[in-house]
Amino acid sequence: MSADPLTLGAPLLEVRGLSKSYGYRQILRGVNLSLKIGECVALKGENGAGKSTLLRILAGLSQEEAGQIFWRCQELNFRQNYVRSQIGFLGHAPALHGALNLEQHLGLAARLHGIMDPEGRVRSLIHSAGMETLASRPVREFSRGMQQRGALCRLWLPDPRLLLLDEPDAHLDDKGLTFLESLIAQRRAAHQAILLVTHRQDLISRWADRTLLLRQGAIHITSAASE
Amino acid sequence: MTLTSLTPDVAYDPTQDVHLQHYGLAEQLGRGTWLVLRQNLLVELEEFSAVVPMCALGLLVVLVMSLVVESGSPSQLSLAAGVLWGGMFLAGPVGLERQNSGPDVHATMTYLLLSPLPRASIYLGKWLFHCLLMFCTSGVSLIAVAAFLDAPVGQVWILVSVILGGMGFSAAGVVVSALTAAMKKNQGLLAVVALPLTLPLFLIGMSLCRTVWSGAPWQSFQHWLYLILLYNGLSLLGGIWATEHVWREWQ
Repeated sequence: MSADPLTLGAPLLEVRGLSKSYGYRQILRGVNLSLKIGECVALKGENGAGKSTLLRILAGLSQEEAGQIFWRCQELNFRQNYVRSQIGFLGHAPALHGALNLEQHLGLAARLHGIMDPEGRVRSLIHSAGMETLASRPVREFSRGMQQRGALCRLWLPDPRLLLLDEPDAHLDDKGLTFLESLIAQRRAAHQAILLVTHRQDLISRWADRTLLLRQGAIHITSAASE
Repeated sequence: MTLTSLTPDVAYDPTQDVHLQHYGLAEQLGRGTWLVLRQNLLVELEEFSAVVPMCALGLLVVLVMSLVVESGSPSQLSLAAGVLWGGMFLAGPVGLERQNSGPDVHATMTYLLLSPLPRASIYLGKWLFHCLLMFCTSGVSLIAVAAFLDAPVGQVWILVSVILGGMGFSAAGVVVSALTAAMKKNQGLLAVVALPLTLPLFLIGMSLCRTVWSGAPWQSFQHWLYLILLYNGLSLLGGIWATEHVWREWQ
């Protein structure tokens, strides 16, 4: 990635008045939030509060009805492909095809992102995830936790500036959780931003700088992560 | 629009160990199309979930329809044209359904939409893949029509029309299939929606083959070929335009 003038603490993502509804049901009602470079923010809320919808909009999978999203002070335009290479999104499903193996998935993703030396990058990620023995097996033979680890590997492949993680700890065992924790620590050390949805307060306390509470479609409370 | 009120504080050098290559739009489109096609081919080579049922259905349709054609009748070749295109067009939706429905396909599509490639290249990659499936199905249908109805299927213009017909069917079908997949509708709806869209192509292709097999000169069937080319061009352009909107909201 070219050395662009990114600055720790500078605004990375700014959301203003974001609204979204499905049919007659208003999911998001004027959401405002900001995320700085190097910051890890946890997003909390009850089931159905709109957390996943918000993340999907920020990832470009869904279209907002009103509001503005700024990426490094410029209005975000998902038609610009480079933006999509800078935002990594992990949703509820790992988004892996059961017939393909992990090497094939990561190899394809590396090429889609235009990574130089894709084989080397794929090998190093598989090694760091401790999945060497599984890499050539079809994903359908993986447990759900293994699939999640595979999806995490793919998420980190292009080294995105912003990570949108929707319950990334789901289905992970202790080993998987350690892997996730090490990845988050690495990304934080590299001053990348993370917007994290999880219901586990212990993870929020360990990983996040502050917490946002999404209630009735709007951000109501922002607080320190430990609170 | 630019935000100017926010100011940075601590400067740092973002040393990255990942180096990304940047491409121009045309190169992005070409690379993206190839990668989507490659992914579909990889999946198909693992499962053979589309090409086998398509070819089997194409063969079955030709076989069953051939049974009702009276052997040696003056209208045999004329009916053979309908049987050939019927086999192709009835088998085509099977490939579209396999290519665009199911949790695995949905998962792959989600990742493609998150990737930094033009959405047109997703459409073009899927279109090329379905073209390959149609060529296989057409090949089987042609052989079956030659075997059961003694049709001279080796004629150049027959082959050209079948290839172009497969491309046109794929161009229109992939859009319809993407639409039903994006709406999370039952893919059974696919055949119902695809049929009226592709019916003109079916009728044109059938007329072309009938004219070629009647021994008519080039001048008498060239307009059918031009119509197929026009249909293909419009379907492709419409597909590129439509998929950008179809995939804007992905559940």
